[in-house]
Amino acid sequence: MSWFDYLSEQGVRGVARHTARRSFLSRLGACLVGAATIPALPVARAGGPREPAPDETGIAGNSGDPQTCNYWRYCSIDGFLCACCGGTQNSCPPGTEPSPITWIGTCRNPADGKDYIISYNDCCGKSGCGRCFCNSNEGDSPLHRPALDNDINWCLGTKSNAYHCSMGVVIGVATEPLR
Amino acid sequence: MNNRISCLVFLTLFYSAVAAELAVETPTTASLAEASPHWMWVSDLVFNAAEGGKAFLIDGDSGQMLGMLSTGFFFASALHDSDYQTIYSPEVYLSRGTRGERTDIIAVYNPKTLEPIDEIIIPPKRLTSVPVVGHAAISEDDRFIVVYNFTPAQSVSVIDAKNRMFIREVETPGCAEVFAAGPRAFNMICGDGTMLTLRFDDAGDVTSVRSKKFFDPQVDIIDDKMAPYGTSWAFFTMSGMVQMVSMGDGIPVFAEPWSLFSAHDLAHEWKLGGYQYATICESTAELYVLVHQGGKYTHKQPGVDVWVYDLKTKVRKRKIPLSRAATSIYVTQDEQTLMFTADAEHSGVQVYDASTGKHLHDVEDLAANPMLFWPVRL
Repeated sequence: MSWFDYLSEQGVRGVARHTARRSFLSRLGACLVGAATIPALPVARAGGPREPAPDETGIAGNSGDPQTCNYWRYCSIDGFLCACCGGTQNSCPPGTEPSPITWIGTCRNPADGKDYIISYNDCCGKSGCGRCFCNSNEGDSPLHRPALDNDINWCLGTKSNAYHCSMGVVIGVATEPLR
Repeated sequence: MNNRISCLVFLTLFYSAVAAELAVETPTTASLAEASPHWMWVSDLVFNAAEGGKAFLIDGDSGQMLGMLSTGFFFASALHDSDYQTIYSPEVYLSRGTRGERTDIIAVYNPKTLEPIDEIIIPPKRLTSVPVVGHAAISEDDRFIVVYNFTPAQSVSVIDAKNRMFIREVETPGCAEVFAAGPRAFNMICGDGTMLTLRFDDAGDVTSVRSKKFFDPQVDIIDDKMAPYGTSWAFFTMSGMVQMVSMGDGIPVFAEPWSLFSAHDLAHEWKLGGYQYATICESTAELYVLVHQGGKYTHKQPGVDVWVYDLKTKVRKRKIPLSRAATSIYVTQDEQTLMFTADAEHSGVQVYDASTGKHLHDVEDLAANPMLFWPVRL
């Protein structure tokens, strides 16, 4: 037995002695659930490695009005603006839950001239907000390319499938132009 | 004495007046007349409160509403059998309206009474989206119904319509929407530019075949708006190319694509747009499309004109200017063709004589968000 095998066996046996199996499974489960609630990056539009997601507050151009359809990051949005419904451009209104999976678009921030990948998370669990309906469609694709389709109700993987409103969350810089 | 006479006259007049009043009534429920090929169903997404989807039945000849179905969460449209004896409506319900347990069903309605008569429980996975025609389909022989699922895993639920039972789920990774044509065959569009065909035997067992690539999703992608034409379907690319696909033999056969737009049209930015922008009248072999002038990514913008093409010659025959811009269009299948249009963001349906373009009716205040027409095919 190699030293590596020996150390591994001792380590695993130690964990087994001090940890109930159910506890291990519950922690593993918690980790998996936690992972599921992190907004996914459904498609890397960039061919190469993606630049780190910038700090939202550091992005120039946030001075636009997130309650209007022409706010720069809504270039591919389709739905009611959460910013008009008690939330903001990147937070859900009280009592609703952000969808963990989304459609994405690429919008140009006029302030810095950069293209950003925008995740259009829906907020879920209540009836349609009904305010500030916007239907921009830059880069929107048909149903057979779902990750770029803004017509889908993305309240999936949430406690309720009921659609309330949509956000535009910056998740990175696009390093390839929109096709 | 005079008083007595006055009293008598008064009472006589009084009883005469009473006798002239309307008879006492008992409330009843209206029944539908014999179905007409000029009847049309209109789906209402009710985007403000999508749990309250509806379907309205209207008569194109009179411009009157005839009845309604309550059809649940993110309703797209319903199907019916070939002799219009049964309506099958894929519906989604949450037990507390906007929360609670989700139940997906095929609701079964009697088209003569519009009453629900049965339901088939299916997996709670049906696509919920802005409605598309390809969300579900029924086989030519009325035996099987296939419902497209998106969770976001892609699959279809297969339902035995004859025995009113869910049979199985079939995984369809990368492929979406579903179109019936030919004997027990269903076709789906795949994101890689191919078509997936699912064929069913008597037991509902499935075999699948993938076609060759018939469009390039990176260059000019096929849209998810399309129109049936006998055993064929017309598909459209984002640039306005028509791709007819014959499905009558159980496998898709792809015709040579042709363009709706001349170089002059394209230079003036004429484009397809809307949510159900194309429809075909089988008896006249005419294709009707909603068009507007707009830049890139205006593919959901309402059409201001309808352009009509002869499918045999692929030539534009006429233009119909609309009284109101529209995102959806449907024509009846008879030679006295009626044309129905609606705008998803505004209530109401417009009815035209399709051959002359004459505006016949405005069916006002009908549906909050009229999205899809689905016909009464007799």
